[in-house]
Amino acid sequence: MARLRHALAALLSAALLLTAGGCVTVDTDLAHATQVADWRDEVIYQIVVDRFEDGDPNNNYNVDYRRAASYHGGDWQGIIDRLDYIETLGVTALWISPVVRNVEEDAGFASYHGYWTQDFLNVNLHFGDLAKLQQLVKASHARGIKVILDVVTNHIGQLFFYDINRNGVPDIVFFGGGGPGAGSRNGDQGSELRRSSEWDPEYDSRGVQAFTSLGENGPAPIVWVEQPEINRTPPMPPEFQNPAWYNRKGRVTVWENEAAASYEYRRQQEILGDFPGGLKDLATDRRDVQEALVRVFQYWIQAADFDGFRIDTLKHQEPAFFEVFAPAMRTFAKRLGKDNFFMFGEAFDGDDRLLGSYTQGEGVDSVFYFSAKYRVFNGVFGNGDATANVQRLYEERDAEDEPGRPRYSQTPKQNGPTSDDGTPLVSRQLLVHFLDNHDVPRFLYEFPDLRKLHGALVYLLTIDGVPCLYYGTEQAFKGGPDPSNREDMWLSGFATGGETFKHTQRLIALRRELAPLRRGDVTFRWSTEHTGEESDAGLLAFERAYRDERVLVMINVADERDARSRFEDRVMPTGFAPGATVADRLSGETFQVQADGTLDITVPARGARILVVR
Amino acid sequence: MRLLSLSLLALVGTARAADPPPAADRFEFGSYGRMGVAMDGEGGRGERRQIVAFGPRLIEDNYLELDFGYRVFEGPEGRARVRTTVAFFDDLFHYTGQVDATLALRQAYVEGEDLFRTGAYAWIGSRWQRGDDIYLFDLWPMDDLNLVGVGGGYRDARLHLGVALGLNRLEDGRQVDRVPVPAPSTFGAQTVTLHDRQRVVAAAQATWQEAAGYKLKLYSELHFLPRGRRTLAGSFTETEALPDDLGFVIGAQVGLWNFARNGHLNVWLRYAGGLAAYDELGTPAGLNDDRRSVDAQEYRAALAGNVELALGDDAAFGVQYGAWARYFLDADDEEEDFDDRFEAAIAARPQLMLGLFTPAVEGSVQISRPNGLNPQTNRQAVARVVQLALVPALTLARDPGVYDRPQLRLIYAVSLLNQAALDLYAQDDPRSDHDVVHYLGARAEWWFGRGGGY
Repeated sequence: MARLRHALAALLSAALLLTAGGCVTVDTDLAHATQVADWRDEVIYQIVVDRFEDGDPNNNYNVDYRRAASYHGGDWQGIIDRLDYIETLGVTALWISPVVRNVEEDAGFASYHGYWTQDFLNVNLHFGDLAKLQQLVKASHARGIKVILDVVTNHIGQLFFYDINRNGVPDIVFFGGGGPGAGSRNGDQGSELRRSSEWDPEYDSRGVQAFTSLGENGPAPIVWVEQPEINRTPPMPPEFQNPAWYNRKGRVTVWENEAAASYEYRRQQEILGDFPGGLKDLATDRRDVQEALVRVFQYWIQAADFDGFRIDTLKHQEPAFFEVFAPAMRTFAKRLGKDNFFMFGEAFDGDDRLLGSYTQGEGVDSVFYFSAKYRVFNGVFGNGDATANVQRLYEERDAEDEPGRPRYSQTPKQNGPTSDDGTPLVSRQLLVHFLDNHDVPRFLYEFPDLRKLHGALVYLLTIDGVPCLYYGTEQAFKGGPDPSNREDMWLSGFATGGETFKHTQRLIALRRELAPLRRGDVTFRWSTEHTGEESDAGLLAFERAYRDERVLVMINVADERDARSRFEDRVMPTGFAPGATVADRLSGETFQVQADGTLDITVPARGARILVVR
Repeated sequence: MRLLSLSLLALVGTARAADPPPAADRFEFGSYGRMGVAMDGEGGRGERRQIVAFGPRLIEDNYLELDFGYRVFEGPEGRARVRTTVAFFDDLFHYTGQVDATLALRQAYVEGEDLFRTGAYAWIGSRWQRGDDIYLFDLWPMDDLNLVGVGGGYRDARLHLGVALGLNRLEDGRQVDRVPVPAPSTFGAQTVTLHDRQRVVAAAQATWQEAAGYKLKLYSELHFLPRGRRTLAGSFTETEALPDDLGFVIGAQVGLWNFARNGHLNVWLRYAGGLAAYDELGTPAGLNDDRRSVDAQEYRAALAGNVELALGDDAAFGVQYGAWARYFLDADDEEEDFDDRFEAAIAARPQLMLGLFTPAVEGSVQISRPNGLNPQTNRQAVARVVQLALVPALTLARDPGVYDRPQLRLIYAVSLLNQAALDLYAQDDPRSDHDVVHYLGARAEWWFGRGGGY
């Protein structure tokens, strides 16, 4: 009937249309509004769009389910179709993989992940059109679910090659015969064998050099590729076709032998080099490049009403870039009526100092807490390292690597995140915790023990900051390194009865119910260096206090032994009132706080307790 | 079908027994053709700007049909004719220098008519089934089927009842899938057809017409595609299921003639659903979640006709006109969908007939309003092309009317495109920059004899 109404309306308007040439936008009433009261209240759910749900078979171009590195058919309609599932799980914000048009494939790998930008201003039609993207955001907002866009400001896709031998076509170039004495049957002196891929040559701090048998002859020109059949064409909008907008120094290679390089040199390569895979590095220190990137990503806030950006490859850009980019986004969003526009970046590095450096000044609001990924989730929850490492890392947030400057910014940013009472929130409070993501093996792959996963989930969803859950974690997915960790979510049947789903759902519900778990200060009540037979080995306990409420979280990371909140004469102090009865919201058990405010209880091996005053 | 074949064999047998007319009288020949050459305002090949499903035909590609018939039998039991139509598409040696041609065998069938003097007819073979057209758009708005199959019915001076049933198997993965497999008895591979499903198309029509000058026609089609299973690309062992599909057409036409000089008017309404909303030689796109086209719809309305007025004894004035509108919704459930659209076009060609000299002008408008955003611009806009043309022409016929041929034309046309129309072309297509397009051409058009393609 709706279609019939459409038809009648169309026919009736035919006469008008014959003379009208006007232009209307599909969504003329796209309203921009603040969706977030306090980012600490949110639980982010990361979705690789291509792998989540196939809601529209008509955009399944070049889909091959059998190849892990091909498009699999997931799209924005699929997410819309599964909002019930997402809502049932309880997460409150979606981080969706990049939406912009990509080069389709490279070396047999497809751009299903979205990180190979060809056109900054158009959508990737594998996932839908702009109207569908708007629909996804609106449908999510209608359920109170926020949407965060994954953006790449560091590089574009592999859209040009370095014409090292100046023959105008992309080659893998070989020079020489194999070194002195080699390549010669009679023992005469040979020549050194050199190999270079013009697609992805190795880093050269002078810039990639042209080379012939006569030697080097200056910077290698870059050549834009025209392969429209795979959308490998010069970048759009056209200003990005200026060769000077790229650093043109070749691929980062310093990680091959990182120990041999100075910190400064490693950072130089990371910032100026092409990202592995031939992803060409933008010269983001240039003002005109900065302005262009600001424009294109402001467009996406306006076009689809996103609530934040997850910024890719943060550590491959100068922090100074984000001192321009981030304020421009905040100001723009605010002008649209969107406060609390949240930007957090991916610096794929365990170097806590490096992570913190990106939160300084007016840069990004937060970063993925990779140091916690490695030291807490992998180290403590996965490997059973001493829980003292958790407290240690937490305390390092305030370390002053430079006098008067804490590692993670504690200075509010202009137009930056706030709580709902207007209190500014600083980076230190907003670190994005995660167990795993699309770039690292799933937690269960590295630590194939559900008990470990469930303990890690307790920490993820009770510690401060903003928790981020990778899709499929709740389904106990256990894929290995990329691309195995990007499984098809539909294979799970979107079941809601599984043990891990229920555990995750329960923890999210508790976080939502108990304000201290979202907004409370953190006080460590117990951590230990013990990992053996000691009574407290494996115990971690921290308290979250917000206004008059407090929650005590106790987790035991030991595999076999119960952990007791007592070692020798020392008993765990708490902030609870002496004599109070506290209940464990996970097991239902109750305990009595001692007259001196301490609590002496045990936590089962790989178990956890979330204690509140009954 | 077997009975029908036997009947035809019997007819042929009877023909041998009867005294056949001389062979020269039994041979029939006809042709439809349009040939010419043109340039645009910059010396390039002159081409039309078409943004809707059916654009004005004034600017067309070259095309030729050769129609051969042979009356193999005429007797008291009826008549039988063999007909073949060969069509050549725009690929001329004198233009390209390539010794090559693109041709198609469009019709090849045997038809028995007035069988047993009952008015019944039957045919088997490849043929088109067409009713009346909008000349200015080269469009049969209600009934235009290309079938390989069987048909029959009843026909007299007023009533025509007809049915047809045909099959097709397009060279498309939805209908056929051929894969190489190890040869059973020698080295190498052989190709086998793993997926093989034909679309069944059935059509029925009833026409009542009176010599006084009107007719009514009802028309319907039924399309069916059985379920199938094809291999996944690059694999022999892994397959995917393809569901069955279904569609239908209903349409009605009212025709009037015998008014003014040579005047006529046809009005059509047509609804197509599911598989039938797509051309029988096209591949459905925009499928529903079950990968079926059953939810697709097309509403179509059209009219066409002409009037002619005598201007004294030696001159006349005529106008041909035509218009159509369609609203198409593909089978997916997208409300905001660039593939779903309202389209319409209108054209009129006033013409003077001053003896053989028959100058004309033509004006046309095409509009297209998609239901979704143009993926290239992220805007939803009404695309429009307005075309105006001067057509000095010679019609080489006695006392010519607007439908007489052959006609030799010079054409100057200018097409005006709005931005939304330009945005329908790829950004790198030079046509996306030309909002004013000129066309200068010399063209001939003819039809005679048994040709039926016009």
